[in-house]
Amino acid sequence: MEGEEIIYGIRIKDLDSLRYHSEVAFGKLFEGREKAKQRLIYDFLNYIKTNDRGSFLNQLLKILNAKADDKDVNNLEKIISRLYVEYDTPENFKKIAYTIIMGIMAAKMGGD
Amino acid sequence: MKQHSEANLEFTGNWFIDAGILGFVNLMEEVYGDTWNNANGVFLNILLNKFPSLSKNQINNLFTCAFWYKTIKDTVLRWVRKDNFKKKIIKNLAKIDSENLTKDIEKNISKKIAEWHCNKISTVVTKSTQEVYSLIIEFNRFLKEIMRESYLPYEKGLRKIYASNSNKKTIVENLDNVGFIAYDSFFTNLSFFNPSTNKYGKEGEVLKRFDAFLNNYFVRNDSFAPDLFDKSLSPFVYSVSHFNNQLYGKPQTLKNIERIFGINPVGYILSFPLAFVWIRGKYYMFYSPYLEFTYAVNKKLKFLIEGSQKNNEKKSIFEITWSAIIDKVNEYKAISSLENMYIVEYSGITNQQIQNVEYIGISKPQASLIIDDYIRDHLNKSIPTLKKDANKRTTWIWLLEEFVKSRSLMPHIINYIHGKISDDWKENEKNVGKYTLITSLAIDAEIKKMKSKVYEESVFDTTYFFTYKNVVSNVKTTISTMYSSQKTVQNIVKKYNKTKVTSPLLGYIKGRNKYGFVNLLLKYMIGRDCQYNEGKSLLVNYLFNNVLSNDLCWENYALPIVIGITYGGEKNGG
Repeated sequence: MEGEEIIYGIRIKDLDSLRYHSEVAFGKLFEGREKAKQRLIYDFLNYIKTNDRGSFLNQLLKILNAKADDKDVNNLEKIISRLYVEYDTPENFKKIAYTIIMGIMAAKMGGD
Repeated sequence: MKQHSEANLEFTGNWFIDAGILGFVNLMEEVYGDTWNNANGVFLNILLNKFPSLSKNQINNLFTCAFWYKTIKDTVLRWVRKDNFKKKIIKNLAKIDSENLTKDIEKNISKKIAEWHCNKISTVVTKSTQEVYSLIIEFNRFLKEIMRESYLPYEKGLRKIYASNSNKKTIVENLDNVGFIAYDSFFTNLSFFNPSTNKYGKEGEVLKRFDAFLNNYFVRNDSFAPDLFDKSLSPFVYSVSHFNNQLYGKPQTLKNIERIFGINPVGYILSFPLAFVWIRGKYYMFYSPYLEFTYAVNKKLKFLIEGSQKNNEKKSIFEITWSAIIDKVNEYKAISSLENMYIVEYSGITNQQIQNVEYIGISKPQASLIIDDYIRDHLNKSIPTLKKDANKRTTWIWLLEEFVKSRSLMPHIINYIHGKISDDWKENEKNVGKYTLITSLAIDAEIKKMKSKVYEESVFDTTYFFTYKNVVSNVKTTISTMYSSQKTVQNIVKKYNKTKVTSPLLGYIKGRNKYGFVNLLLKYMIGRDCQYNEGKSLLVNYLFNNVLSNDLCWENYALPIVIGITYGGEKNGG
């Protein structure tokens, strides 16, 4: 059963934790910077639409690196690296990417 | 004769016996309905009240009289309606307008039967068995006399016509040969309907056989058992010679049926064909395990069919049956009455073979959804489709019918929204309530989930039998989730942007492009002002839980968003 699930798709449990951690981490990263957050989401959406996985990952890691010593950001990095290894298919990439975006969108902005 | 009491007239759970019980009720209603029914009440209730006070013998007498009265009456009318005058020939020979003549004779005979019925039938309860038999013989003789009177003036002419073929007999000659004017295609093989027994002057003999059948279950001399329940009692059953598995299972006997169900089965077996309603060349019976419900639906069915025939409507039998069921579901609310319902139909009997039998079942999850008022009300609607008929009018489909036939509702909803945002639909075609659409989508989604669960686990798993029990509450939760998301999206998407957004979103759903859908919607959302931040996160949650991580039926959850945008700002959205 375990093997089958990994072939067919990501466990919802994993998506849930990914989403939660991106919400927390990006809440800290974009504290009070709503416009910057929106710009990032816009970029991300365009990358996924054109299936540009390299640019997506590139920009994501760049941003995470800005606060690499934060515990929450660190957690997110770990999860992302684990998921990318475990579920490396185009279909799963889209799922993971959208989950991250939705996490960012749901992030509470300290500023407002 | 028998020791057991038949005081309870209720269904046994076996559809075959139950159909007989329903037929028995119908027979009683037809024959004794007028005399018992003085307060315009429901006949079944009157019968159920009266039944326990009747002795076994009285019930048998009532049945005997009703059965023979009905069979003789029906056979006489069938004979009269036949082309007795050989229309074409007699018109040239004797210048008789045979059609009007036949109509006049039928009218006269019906009138005489009604008079006889009015005078004699009410006294049956107080009579002994022998007196009832004499009454039947009297009725038969009475009808023979009337028929002879009606046809004798034309006998000479008729004789001439038939002279060419000596095997054929005129109706008057037939009257002289036959005992009881009684024939039933359903029971051709029964000894007392057999032409070799049912001869002129042997009426007493016929009734003796009938008596032996009713009280001693004597069917025929057979090496296996005299009380065999086989093809001679119903074309639905195999004949004993076709019963190849005798080593493993014996053919059924009437005594056995009595032992299992605790009833005298003969009356019910003979009433079996009367449970069916004749519609456009086929016999139909609706069955559920409750007598009251089944009786009410079949009665309503008959009423609706007569109405639709009068108005020349071309409604499908399916639609008529379902309107009857829906009408009665409110009164007899019991989930178990809707479970295990089916429609039995057959188109006729040729050479003692039953033709085109069909059993249409209704599944449990669907039944449990229909019993719910809210869901039923919203599904009991028609919506326009993109198809046009020959007169270029839009064809409408009935959602409930599609649902009961286990078809997916989602394609219809997609088509409807497509039509709604296009320009070529008329206004009246665009005002289907969004609750109806969302309910359909929710039901569709839950059924898809349920099916996938069944396949995922195992068909023989116990969960299979329990999943359907939660289906109603699951559907309702889904409806409220979908409803709140469509409400949220109304606040986010501006009215003037409606068509600009809906068309591509609908396109993505049609193209099964989940990520395209999510992408467009998210892009649209981040550009808006922050006034509805809470709504936004609600919608993001919804998208994450029900669209993104849902591979099974994400379209069902995506459509309410499109519905929300399309209906946004409309006052009469409900």
